Amino acid sequence: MIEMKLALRNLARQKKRTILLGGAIAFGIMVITLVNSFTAGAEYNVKENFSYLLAGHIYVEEQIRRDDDKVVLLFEHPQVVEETLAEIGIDARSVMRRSAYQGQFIFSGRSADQTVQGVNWERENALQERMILLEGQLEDIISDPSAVVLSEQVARRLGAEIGDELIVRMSTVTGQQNVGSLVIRGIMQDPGLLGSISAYAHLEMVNSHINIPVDSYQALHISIDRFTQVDMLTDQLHRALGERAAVAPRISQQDVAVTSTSLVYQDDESEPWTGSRFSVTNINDYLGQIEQISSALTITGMVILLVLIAIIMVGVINTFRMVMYERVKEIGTMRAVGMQRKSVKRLFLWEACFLALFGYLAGVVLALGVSAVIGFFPIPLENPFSLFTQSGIITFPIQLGSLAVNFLLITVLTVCAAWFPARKAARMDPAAALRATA
Amino acid sequence: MKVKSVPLLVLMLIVSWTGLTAQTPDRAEILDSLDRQSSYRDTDFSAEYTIVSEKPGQERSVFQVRSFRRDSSDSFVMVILEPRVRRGEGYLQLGETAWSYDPESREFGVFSMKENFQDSEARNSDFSSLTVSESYEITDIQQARLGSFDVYLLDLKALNDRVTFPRIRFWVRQDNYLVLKEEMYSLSGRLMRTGLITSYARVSGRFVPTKILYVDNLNQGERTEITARNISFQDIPDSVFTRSYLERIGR
Repeated sequence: MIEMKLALRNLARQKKRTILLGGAIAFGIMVITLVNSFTAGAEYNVKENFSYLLAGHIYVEEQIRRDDDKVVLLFEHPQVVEETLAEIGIDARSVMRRSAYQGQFIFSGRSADQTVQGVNWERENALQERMILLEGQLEDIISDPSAVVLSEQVARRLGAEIGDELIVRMSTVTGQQNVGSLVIRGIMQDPGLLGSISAYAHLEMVNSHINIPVDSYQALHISIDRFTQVDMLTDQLHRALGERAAVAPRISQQDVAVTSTSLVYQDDESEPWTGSRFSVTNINDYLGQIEQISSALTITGMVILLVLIAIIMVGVINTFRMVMYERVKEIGTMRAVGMQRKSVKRLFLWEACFLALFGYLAGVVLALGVSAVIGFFPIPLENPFSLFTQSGIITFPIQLGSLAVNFLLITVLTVCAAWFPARKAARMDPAAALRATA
Repeated sequence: MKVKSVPLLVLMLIVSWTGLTAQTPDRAEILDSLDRQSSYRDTDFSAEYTIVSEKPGQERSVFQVRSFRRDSSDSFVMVILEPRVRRGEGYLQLGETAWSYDPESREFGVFSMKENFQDSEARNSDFSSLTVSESYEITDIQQARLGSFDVYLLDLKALNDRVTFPRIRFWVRQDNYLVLKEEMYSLSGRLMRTGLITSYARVSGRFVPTKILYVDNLNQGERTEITARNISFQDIPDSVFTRSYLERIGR
């Protein structure tokens, strides 16, 4: 106990030195805390943004190869999937039917490219909950078959308001040009970069635009409660579907580019197939590269921390060696009045330990401050970087595991760095120390 | 009076029927002529095109490209010459397969003939061959006048659901079936694009359009003018219709 008090007193005695050394530790901890938090936040935000864009976590499509070898996406055998989903226990309420196309909205001489998502409004509870309508009423959207909901950004770009009729140009599933019209019944708050590239219309209207039966759909989007179960459930569904019908092989995460956000069929098959088959993909298939980027960022952060720690440790060793020589007489006196060698050693180690603790706490506080300040500067949603943000705000969620690991790492290494000077101080001969002039 | 008027009426009917049949052109002949105009099966073809696009509120964009065609094997190459920053970008189509080439990354990408050329009103397919008779049938022919020309107004309907425009209207000269104007319609029947061919050149005994104006009927004020020059029907080396050609000239 006395050693701890003395250690604290020694740190307080040499304020400038303590602040400089503690500041170096704090800086290192701040950097790694920010990197860890940013990486975790970015990964979470990307997944959230994608799950909003793709509406759910697991996606099932039916691919139909026609006689002319053209492949179209259209559910002709929905009952097969519905039975399989029921068999593996997926609640029908978490399954959404969707069709989509890449369209160009034209209004009053202006145009904007959008993904037009065909949704069944009555069944899309999650969409209704997440969509923040700035203008328009949900009832009007549901009751008007030609209704479309645009993001605020797109409505502004088009100079269009509620009630305006937009021309929309698109291709049908077979590649024919088509033109339709939609009426703005809702303007929603920009839900981030990915969200704002989508507009929402009635499923039946979208189906008629892409020239498939109005009561049909192109994909089933399944939402699940636990993100960690995505891969397991996808594999289970793929296996179960494979027992009932032809299925496309599961794609590996490396095969999907992060930019391929649309569930559009790409014919890159090594094995030819005919007729129809089902494909099962999930959000992780599209985010494999994001996880790789995230891991790379974490590793980079760790490398930065280790380099900083190495520099700091050299500083700690030198400082404690200097402290030892400065306190030779003091050590001699303490030893002369009965302090044991172990106590002298502990005194130095406690000093190092407190230095690490203060530096660590200061680093974490600094990191919190910096992250709060960064939060005041939103990223414009047009900026591709906003993909990593929560509606334009960079988030830094606290990573308790990383904080604990960093604390242990910095404390152990600082104590280790102080070990040799501490041992040398403990082995000092009291008489020789008292005679020393330094 | 009544007895006299009946043979007169019959005579008039016969005259007008024979007149009509004399003036009604053979649909197969017209389609064949359209094919010959847009597709050169017996020879190679190359030309330089200047593509000038105008969009309201945007700077005028000017592209210059060199196009090579071997319609007998559905081969097509197009290389951007201007602007300087895009020079060397190229497109290659061999049958059903098509690639684009970016000299900066030195990578080939996916390319569709159905896409618009560099955000202009011209489509990539406008620079390649088109066999009208394979994709369309004439559903209606009417006589009309376009400017100072007597024309046939043809209504064409797609024979399959793969062609870009399900319905097209052509205004062709009555004397030589040269296309003077075309209108492209969407599946829903909406007019999407109008093409006006304002000038032809006679090269090696064939008529080749040298000035075409495309007007976007959906986006008001958007138009693209294509001018062709250095037209040639001389043989093109096989090596041009290869990926390595695009890589070589992209250096």
